[in-house]
Amino acid sequence: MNDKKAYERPSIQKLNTGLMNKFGTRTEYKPLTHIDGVPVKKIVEEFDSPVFVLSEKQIRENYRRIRRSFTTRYPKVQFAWSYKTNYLNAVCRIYHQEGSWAEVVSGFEYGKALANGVPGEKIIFNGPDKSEEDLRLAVENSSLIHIDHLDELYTLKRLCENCDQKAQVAIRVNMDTGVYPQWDRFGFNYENGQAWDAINKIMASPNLQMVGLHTHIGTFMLTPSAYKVAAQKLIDLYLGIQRKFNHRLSYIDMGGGLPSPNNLKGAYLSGSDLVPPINDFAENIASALLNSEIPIDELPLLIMESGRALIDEAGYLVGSVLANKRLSNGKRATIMDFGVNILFTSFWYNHRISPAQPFSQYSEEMEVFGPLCMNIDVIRENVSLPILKKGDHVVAHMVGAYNVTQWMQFITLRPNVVLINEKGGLELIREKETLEYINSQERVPEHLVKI
Amino acid sequence: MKVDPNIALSDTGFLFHASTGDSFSVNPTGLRILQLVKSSKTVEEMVAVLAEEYKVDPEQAEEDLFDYLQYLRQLKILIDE
Repeated sequence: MNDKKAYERPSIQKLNTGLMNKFGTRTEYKPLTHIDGVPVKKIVEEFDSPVFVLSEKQIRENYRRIRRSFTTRYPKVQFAWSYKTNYLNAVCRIYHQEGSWAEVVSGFEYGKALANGVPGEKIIFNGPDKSEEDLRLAVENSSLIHIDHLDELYTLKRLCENCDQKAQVAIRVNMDTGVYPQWDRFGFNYENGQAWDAINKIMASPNLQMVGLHTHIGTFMLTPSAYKVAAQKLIDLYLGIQRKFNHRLSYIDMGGGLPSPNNLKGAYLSGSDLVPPINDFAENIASALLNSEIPIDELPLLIMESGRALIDEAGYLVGSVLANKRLSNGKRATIMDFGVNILFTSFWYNHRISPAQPFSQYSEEMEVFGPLCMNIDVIRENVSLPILKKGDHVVAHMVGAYNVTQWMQFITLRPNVVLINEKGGLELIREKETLEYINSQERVPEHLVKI
Repeated sequence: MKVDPNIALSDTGFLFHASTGDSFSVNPTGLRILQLVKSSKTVEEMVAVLAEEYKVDPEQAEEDLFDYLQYLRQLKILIDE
């Protein structure tokens, strides 16, 4: 009985020598059996599958590394954690412990930041949607309000007429930095004079205190020099304000948009080959500021609102194989217990997927699907992976950014989110949803109670 | 059901289809099944052999065997007699 051979599902793979194909080459040579020293099997046993896993150690290390890229080049740097990237309270608090302020884009996120204990003056309020109530609260708390449009500016002016204190404001500036697409839907445009016009309106308002300038030139930016162009344009406005109003701004906020080394769909190169080092972005921004006409002892605070670059690598999604099947053309299809409902970023990334148990040297070209009964539920269209069987565990990499904020309660419930603390302990930081929880938000009209 | 006579199969799992020029790699289980087909075993006999030689229950072996044989037919490696 004991001398039976280990079983692996029979497999045949066509050999394509010398030619590239859409599946690419095999990428997995070692199973990912542990995350931060914790066995994946143990995580599944305790918290079910699928389960999001975040590494506190990697979050902190990444933050310190990226912050150092800037602080070694510029004397006054402040990071503000981008709440929308991942606003689980435990995650936000790690960044706040590290010294990050909060960057929020809604009343909901603003409330979260306050509840996380962030002082009002260390909350940056961005975005086009700020209600009067949100703005009133932000003024009272001396938060940094980044005005997105004229309607907001006029609302704020009106609200502040009866206030005892001045609103601390900046404007968001959009601009041509030489990259496509140009983001012009947020803030005021630099080139056509909207931004300067808005600045003049603010400077003429006794109840608004202009404290900074903000831009956010795009997302997953691959051109570090675009940040130099952006910084130079903000510096031009900064100097213009100083010249005309003899007013010195406290900060220049370069926003976020820094990429993580994830694999973008449609890119020929993998993320690690495609994405420039963070040092390049830091160098472009810092040199623009240092080389400007601003005297060294008057340099403004540089604020960075990075999200994705800080957390993507610290997040994993552990899942399991539900089934194997074969498509009509003979292609292998593997169905996982996680889909686009919780791995929203698979719409734009080819997430690397590693088996979590040992495997042979044989691999199969396959399409990886999620569990939803919807045709859109595709995790990887073409990937070469070791032979997987029902019940095997897999780990999707670099899922820390945007998934636990953009995930959908669609068809099924959202899973547990676990943090591996710095001592290797497992902490549940968001409990999986239950049918009772979802139903508790619903109300059934009287005439529909009886069916 | 038999293996196309134009196919050369090595002991290490390299398979060459002489009439199409295609070459394939099979894993050890896949190779064993091709050897069983060559020795004219029936599907039931093949399941029994797999369950005897490998750490797998007959149901799983049968499910995988059917999928594999069907794919081999699609690749024109197996042909009907």
